[in-house]
Amino acid sequence: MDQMREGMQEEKTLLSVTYKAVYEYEDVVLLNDNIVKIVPYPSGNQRLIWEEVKTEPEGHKVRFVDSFGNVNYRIKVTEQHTSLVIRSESKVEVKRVPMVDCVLPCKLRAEEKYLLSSDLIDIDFFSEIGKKIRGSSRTLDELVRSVVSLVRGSIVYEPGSTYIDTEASESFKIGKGVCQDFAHVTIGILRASGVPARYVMGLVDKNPKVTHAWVEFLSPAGWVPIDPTRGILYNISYVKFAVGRDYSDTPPIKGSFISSGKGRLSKIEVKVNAE
Amino acid sequence: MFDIKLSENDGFFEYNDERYKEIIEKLNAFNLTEIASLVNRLASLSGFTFYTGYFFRPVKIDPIPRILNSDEFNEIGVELSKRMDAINRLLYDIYHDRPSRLNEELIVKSPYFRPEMFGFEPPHGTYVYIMGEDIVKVKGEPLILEDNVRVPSGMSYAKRSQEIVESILKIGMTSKHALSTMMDTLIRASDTRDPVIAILTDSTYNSAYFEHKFYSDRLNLLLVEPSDLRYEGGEVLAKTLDGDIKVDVIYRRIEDLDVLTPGLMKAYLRGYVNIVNSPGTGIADDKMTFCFMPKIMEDYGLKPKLKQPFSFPVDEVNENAIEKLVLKRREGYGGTGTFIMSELDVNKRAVVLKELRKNPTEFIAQELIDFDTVLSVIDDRFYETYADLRFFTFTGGTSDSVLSRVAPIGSRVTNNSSGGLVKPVWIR
Repeated sequence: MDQMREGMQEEKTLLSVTYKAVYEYEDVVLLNDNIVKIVPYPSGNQRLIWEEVKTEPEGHKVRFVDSFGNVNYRIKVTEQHTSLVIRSESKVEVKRVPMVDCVLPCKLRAEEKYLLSSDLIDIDFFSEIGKKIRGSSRTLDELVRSVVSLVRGSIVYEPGSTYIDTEASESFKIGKGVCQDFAHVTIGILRASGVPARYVMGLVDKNPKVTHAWVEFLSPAGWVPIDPTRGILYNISYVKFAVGRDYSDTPPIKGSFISSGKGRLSKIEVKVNAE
Repeated sequence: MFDIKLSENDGFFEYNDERYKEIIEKLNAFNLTEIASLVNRLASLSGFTFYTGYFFRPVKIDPIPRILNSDEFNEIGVELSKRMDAINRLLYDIYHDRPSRLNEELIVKSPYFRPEMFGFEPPHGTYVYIMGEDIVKVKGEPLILEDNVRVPSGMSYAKRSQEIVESILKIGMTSKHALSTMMDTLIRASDTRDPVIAILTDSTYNSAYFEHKFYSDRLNLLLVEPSDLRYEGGEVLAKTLDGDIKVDVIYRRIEDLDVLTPGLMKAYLRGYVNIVNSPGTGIADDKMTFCFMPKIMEDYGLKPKLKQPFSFPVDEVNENAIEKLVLKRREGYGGTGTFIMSELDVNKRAVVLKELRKNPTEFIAQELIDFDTVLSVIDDRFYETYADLRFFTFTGGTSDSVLSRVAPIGSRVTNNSSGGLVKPVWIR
């Protein structure tokens, strides 16, 4: 018993997290209004201890929690600018969720939205594949492994091959994509085979360079992460920023600006350090 | 008496109402089709137009007055003031991070939510000073369809159409305190007794420019465009032929303050000027808010007597029931984004349903209302038509100039943007 408790305690890690994005504009921006999700998800396997979100120039800021449980900030900058820095600092405790297997059908209760089609994932497209995988798997673990290996066998990682609004079916057809597409296709097949699955956006725990996308599916132990892009199953303690049905629910920064010039993301800096 | 082209609907025809007997007798003394043509000539001479984005469409007047009893008008007025009170308290709670009936996520994400108003104390604690309330009658009973609390327009059309028709019919139809109620409201929005009030229009191409000019002429308000305003040393100044004038209250008739008048927003937040209605009222204009209005009013202890059609977020409706309902886009206005499902063909219905499944939070559902019809003269014929009523409620009370918009023949959509007529309303 003591040993087990010790083991559980070890699975918790305290992390300090930094996110910084710099946008640059060709001309003066009169107004920049964004909704950002750059603070760790505050529930489930994560405990958000402290957070600070800031912009330069400063803006009018309102915090809210959305229907997925994500922490959002709407920040409206009304001071004229030609570059905008959006940053967050936070401290979060991340607990590893163990995979607990079950014999299919596991009959786990999940919100319907994680079983149906969503903006970028049409599960009807994956229904055949889903049925086949479901038919050849006895347990949840078997099914998840088959899905991940099928996805990794069908899609090649190629930056620039897809866009932020590429649908799961499209990247599956062309056989190319980035982490977002790996996640979408994995979710599509999981849902089509009856396993509730959701999209996760956040940072990997070791030397992150940019935000990453992975997947969580529902197991008897709760939501368990898998990273189809890197081929990692279960033992993951990345920092989640947001969860949703697909990318459309989770972009780290989304908004609009008013200027006669174009804008671009010129720099992104992310850090995850153990305390 | 009249040879009326009836609608195919068998609902209640207001013409059969007792109180119309007297007026129909009076109208019998006139050749109404000639009067209609005369009225419309007069209207076009006075620039009675609505800009549609391509041209200034003359607004046609249907000269047969619609009658409201003064008792029912007063009752509706009391109810609308309660509604305004509730809306102001709701906005106060939302912008002061207090819980409300509404979903916080939907509010804060809305383009009409203004982060800069968060935590701000508006002058007099008031956000909405002027609202336009769309009401229809069902078997003679009023039913509220919509709250317009951004930049509602129409009272000048009500007032002017009434004046033109009265100038010819001479039946004693007047409204006594429409403009004075508006003026009192604007004066009280300031901190001084004799404020300088400007009406802010974007240009002559605003759809309701006629109205902006009308108020400016009748109430002696400065008619200004964004480029006439400037914020300097704690004052908002308007450029005029006689030099710069410090403005105390701005009756804004534009939605976009961020780009057109960025300095004005700063001056407002620092308390140097009042803006009527305040920025950020659009979240109460959202049809999702409308769904919850009866409950919101009860939360504030303002039990509503005026009914509204059963309206609810779409995710609470089962798919089969949707076919019998009206779907409305939350942020649609001017009749756009309204789908009467039973009147759509199979293909269109499928398109709407698909859009609905993808973005259920963008829509609300409402029961289909079969509202009362009225008698209209259009060109040289009498028709049974659909018409609504738009009341204008101010912090100083409800105006006795009420607009009635008549839908084009065969349609139920009464918005001016959709090409209907206006009809004078006579409160007796």
